[in-house]
Amino acid sequence: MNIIVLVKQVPNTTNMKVDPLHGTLIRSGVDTIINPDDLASIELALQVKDNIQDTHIRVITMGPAQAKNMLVDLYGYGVDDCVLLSDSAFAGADTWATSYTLAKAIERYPYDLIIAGRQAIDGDTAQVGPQVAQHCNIPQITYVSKLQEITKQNITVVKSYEDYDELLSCNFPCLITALSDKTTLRDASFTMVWHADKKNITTLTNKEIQGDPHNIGLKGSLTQVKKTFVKTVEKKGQMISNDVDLAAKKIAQILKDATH
Amino acid sequence: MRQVKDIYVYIEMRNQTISQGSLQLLSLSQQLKKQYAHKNIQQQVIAVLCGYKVESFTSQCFYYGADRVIVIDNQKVQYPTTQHITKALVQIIETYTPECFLISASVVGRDIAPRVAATVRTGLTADATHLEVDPSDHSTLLLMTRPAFSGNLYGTIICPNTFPQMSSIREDVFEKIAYNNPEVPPTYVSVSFDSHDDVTVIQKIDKKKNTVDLTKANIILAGGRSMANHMDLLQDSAKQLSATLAASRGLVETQKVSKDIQVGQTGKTVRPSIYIACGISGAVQHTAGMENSQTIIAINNDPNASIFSIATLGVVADAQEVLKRIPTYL
Repeated sequence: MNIIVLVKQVPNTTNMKVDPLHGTLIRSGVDTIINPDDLASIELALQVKDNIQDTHIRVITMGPAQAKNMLVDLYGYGVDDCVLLSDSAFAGADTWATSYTLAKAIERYPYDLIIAGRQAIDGDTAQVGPQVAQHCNIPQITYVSKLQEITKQNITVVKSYEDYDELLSCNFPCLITALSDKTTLRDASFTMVWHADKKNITTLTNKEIQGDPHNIGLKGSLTQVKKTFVKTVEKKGQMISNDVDLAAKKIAQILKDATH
Repeated sequence: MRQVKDIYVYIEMRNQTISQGSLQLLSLSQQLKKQYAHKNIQQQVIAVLCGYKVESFTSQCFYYGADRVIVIDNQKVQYPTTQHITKALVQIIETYTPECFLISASVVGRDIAPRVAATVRTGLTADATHLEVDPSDHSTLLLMTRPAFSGNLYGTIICPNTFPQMSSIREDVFEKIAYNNPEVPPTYVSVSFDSHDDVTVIQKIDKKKNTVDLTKANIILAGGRSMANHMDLLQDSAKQLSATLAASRGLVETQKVSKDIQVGQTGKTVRPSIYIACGISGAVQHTAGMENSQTIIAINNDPNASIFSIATLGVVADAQEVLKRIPTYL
């Protein structure tokens, strides 16, 4: 069984600061992490490997050269092969151009199952997974919270909706997207971390994947960012400092006014 | 260039009823229609209702803002499956060439919209929270604004060269408005669905019903990470104040409460009459989901907490001390 896992390196948005004057992000000093939902994807792939003999897990990421460090880390969890898609021509891609580029890379490899994270914490779009599935012309199941059963022919998973779940099955090939709040990545293996540095990372540029120059990067993007800004909120309320009783009384009054 | 016109809205059926998010989009579309009309561009709001035996739901579409309704009535789309709904919406787009196509950013919408956009090769904005028509002369562009980087930054997105201009729209950000439009006979469209199903639904599993609908709550009592050690007090207070319990991402991360009650950018969007934030610092991640509450009461022992900048009433104190005393005055 061949699995491809799509992974993205993202800025740690919890520590993110913005420049309110220019409406831009201050990127210096912000650490990068593996996108949380993508860690869930790795875990699901490892669960398949636990159950199906001869499973091969290939990780593909698109990003700058520094993303190599992330890929080295992933070898420590037991993935078999890592591919870095890196080319200045890929920069500035929206979800359409990104998914096109990823699909061109995926084409080069055999696969039964593609696993992506539901969404990345920098863009929060949740669009790349489904659009890769469309470019590869395979079915998809998004918002997968649990791997229920896996055979060599098909996969059965639990999909999480707003107020109910569904048990779904799909034949291979297909793509699923994973949720970090439902699946936690296991610890890395000491032995595999030890050997991770010696593992090979394949780097592909557009020359290798032969993407149509009109479909990649900023030029291939169908959406454009017109502007970015930081939302400012004006101070408007009354403040009570230290007088806990006055505060409790005021709050009680607001509650009583609302219910009468 | 091909002739594009009108604002189309995908109407999502959820548990045998129209999702609230879809109705909100019809009302939003009426506002966009008005903005287009100011520029002498006439658009209609068209609801695309996909489901099985859904005739009776067309009235609701007119009531909340549809000028016309297209109905795709087929057992294949009884449940919102990716494969069949995508096929139906792609056919609608190819037949009618809409100017705009809006889909709720629900689990279903966020599954289907990217697939449809990739098929017809158009740009798609995700999870927009503000939409307006570009005010500059002769422009028909939609300005689609959305939060990114966990709400730290907002981006205004345009789709200038391909059609339709597509966006998924965050649920519960816009209100549904009773337009009470006149009902005209719906247009029935037949779609040649694939005979096979790529994905088999084996079973629907109801979630354990301790889940309350936060979006309908009138009073919300929300706790931040620091309330993790005072969960009993928080729960008792919620009962006493007739409030529904909610949490910040920080509190959810301590695993004391379920993710279902998380408010914020990666949780629910709420707009209750009263929102009481206890020990919540007010990161954009959180405020993005509650800033439209009518009255915001913030209790935090850090006088510089950013939550105070949006609070109607700000209290600098330990939240547990305040909570303990409120019942005295009720």
